[in-house]
Amino acid sequence: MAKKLMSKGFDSVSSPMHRVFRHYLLSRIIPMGAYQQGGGIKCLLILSATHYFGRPIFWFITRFEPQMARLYRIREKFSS
Amino acid sequence: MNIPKYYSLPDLIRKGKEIAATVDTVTFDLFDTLLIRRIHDPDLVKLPVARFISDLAVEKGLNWTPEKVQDLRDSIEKRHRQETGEKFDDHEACYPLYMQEMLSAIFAEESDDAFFDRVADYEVAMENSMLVPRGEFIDWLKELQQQGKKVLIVSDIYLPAIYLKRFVEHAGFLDLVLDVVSSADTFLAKASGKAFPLIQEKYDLDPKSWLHVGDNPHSDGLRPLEFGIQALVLHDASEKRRKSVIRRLVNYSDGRPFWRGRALQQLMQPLEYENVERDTLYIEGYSFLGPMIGAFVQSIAERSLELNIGKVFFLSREGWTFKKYWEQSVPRIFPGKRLPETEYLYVSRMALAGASCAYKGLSQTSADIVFLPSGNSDFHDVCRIFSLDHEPFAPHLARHQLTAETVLSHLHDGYKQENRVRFSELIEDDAFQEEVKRQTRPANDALQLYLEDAGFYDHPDVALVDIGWLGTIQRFFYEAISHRQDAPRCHGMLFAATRGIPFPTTVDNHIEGVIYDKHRFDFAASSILYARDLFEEACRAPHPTLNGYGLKDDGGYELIFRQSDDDIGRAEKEQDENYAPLQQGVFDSAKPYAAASALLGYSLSDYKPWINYLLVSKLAFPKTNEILDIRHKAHLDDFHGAKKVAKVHSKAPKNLWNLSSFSLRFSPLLRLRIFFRHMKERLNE
Repeated sequence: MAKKLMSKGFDSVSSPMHRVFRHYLLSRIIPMGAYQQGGGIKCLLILSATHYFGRPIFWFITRFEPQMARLYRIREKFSS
Repeated sequence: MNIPKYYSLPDLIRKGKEIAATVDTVTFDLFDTLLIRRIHDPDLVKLPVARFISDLAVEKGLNWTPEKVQDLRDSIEKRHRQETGEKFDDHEACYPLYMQEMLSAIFAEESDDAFFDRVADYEVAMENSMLVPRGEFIDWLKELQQQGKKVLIVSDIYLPAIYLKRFVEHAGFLDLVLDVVSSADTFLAKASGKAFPLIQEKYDLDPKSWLHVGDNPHSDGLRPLEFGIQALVLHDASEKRRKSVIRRLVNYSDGRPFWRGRALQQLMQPLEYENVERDTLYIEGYSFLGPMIGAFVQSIAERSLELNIGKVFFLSREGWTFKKYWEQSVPRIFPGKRLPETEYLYVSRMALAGASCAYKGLSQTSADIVFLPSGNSDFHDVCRIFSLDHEPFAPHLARHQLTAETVLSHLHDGYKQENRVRFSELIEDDAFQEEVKRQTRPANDALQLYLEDAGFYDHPDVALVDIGWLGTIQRFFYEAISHRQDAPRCHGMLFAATRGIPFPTTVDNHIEGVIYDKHRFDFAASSILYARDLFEEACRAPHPTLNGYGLKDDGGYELIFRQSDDDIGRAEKEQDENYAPLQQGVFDSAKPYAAASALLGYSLSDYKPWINYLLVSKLAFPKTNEILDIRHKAHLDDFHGAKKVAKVHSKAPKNLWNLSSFSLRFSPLLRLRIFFRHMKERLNE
């Protein structure tokens, strides 16, 4: 069956992020070998969100870029 | 001023076409508009150039690290921008000016125009490998050309137009535009708005009949609008999302090596019109096998440079794929290094086995190797593998109460322990060994002629590259050449070393497994043992296996190949046809691998966690459809005889990759059960 190498969500069709995520969870239970810390749950969540829910997220981000930038500045102000 | 922004490319082009119908001229920004970069940060393309310059400096005995080169480039570029800012509104820099100054600072008088061109060519090549034309824009450019519009490309960048034209030409649309204008040539940029009057005057344009399209709200929106030009600005949400993925992967790679291989793969992904529908096997070749073979050949190149290897010999038949991959990738990854020569060497276990006995006779270990595959059982199999005629051995066998049919393998009916004891005595028999040497000498003589022809003895250190597994080819090969004074040190580099029998390692002859080596405990990488034949079949050259080396009447030599018109030969051809898309995927991944790896500056050790994930995920925990699609239909192994194993030994453990689709789909916890067995086997090794 013919498929494209990259999905519409910019994910690899051969090793999609949900498969990496599932493998990561399995490797927490069963010793799978040396992955040098593996993917990390936070990275996996963010990447999964970008690949699978990125369309509405970026639809919002690009349209409200100045407002988002203001929010980021406020967050930075409080975090520092 | 209200800047018309569009959040998707189709929306912008729809509006652009409406406006274009009323104007004579359409100008486009180049980067992030007509061309997009695979990488999120254009400055990252400068890093491989810094590494290239550093390598050139080291070759000339100068101590310049890539970081030092990059710092110098940044500081000179910054000063040039400040100096330009004193005379012009825009703080622009011009690549040839600051790059030549930088090269003079590093290489002094050795830096001339030709040297600068070499560096600039590499930078352009790196940029080209990262740039992709936006398909829908190119379609629109074609329409505009047909409508007779003046189309210009205008860019604010440090590269003069002559370089930009090379990018546009490489992307395939130089013939669609009237000209390319760069701020580096005049220091009048779009950012200040000074570029627009300049272009108006040069090309005699009317601002009222002019549309400009770009991605920067200031340079491509506000400035043209101020000059009376209509403008459209692209804020592409999809592009931002794509860049966000690669940016995160590159950033995560710093702290978590696992993502380095994934970042590499993301950079290798085809974009825009490159991303067309492909066969499933092509996808696996491109995404699964390709990066693994790329990391393998890159690692061979690094080891060869470390060990000062003069020539790399890729051994047939899998070496054919490795060599092809090397040619497409390694010179691009190491442009500033003096790489070893390469050669494809026609060898096989069957062809070398005989030649290996010409001077030392048949060793006990070599004879034992015959009985490793379960299909071999008697002296006929020994003769078949070592290319011996069994009839002259009859008196020698009789002396030790053996015949050619005496069963010598414990896996077969009729085997007796004393048969092997007698066989060992036969091997120690000088008269028997003399006959072995007599029969195998012509093959060895022919092999020597072939190796001399291939320049094998011209270097003190050579690398022998093969797929694996026991290192039998290199064992036989070294035995066949070790009698010569000029025999080079042989550094064996195997894709995977399973080491079923101990390899006779010496300083002059050793093997190492690159992706997997049993001597280096790497449990994830050991998943390769699930489907060894897959790698062999996927990498195999499209020519029959070598049966031997023959001497010709005129004193020359000939390579004797196996016939390809019998059932096995036809099955092999059929398998080749079946795997053609897989191999095509592997080869097509070589150039993108080289560009991505050169840009990231990583090597095998960095990609290893991801490669380990791919091996476990694809081989130990594959989807049923993946096994059904990828697994080979036929596998030729002349070394393996055709004799039937005794019933008691015939029950082989389940191999995931040989099971029926029913078992694969419905057997409960099948993959986990087989994985636990695999784990137990590895721990007990």
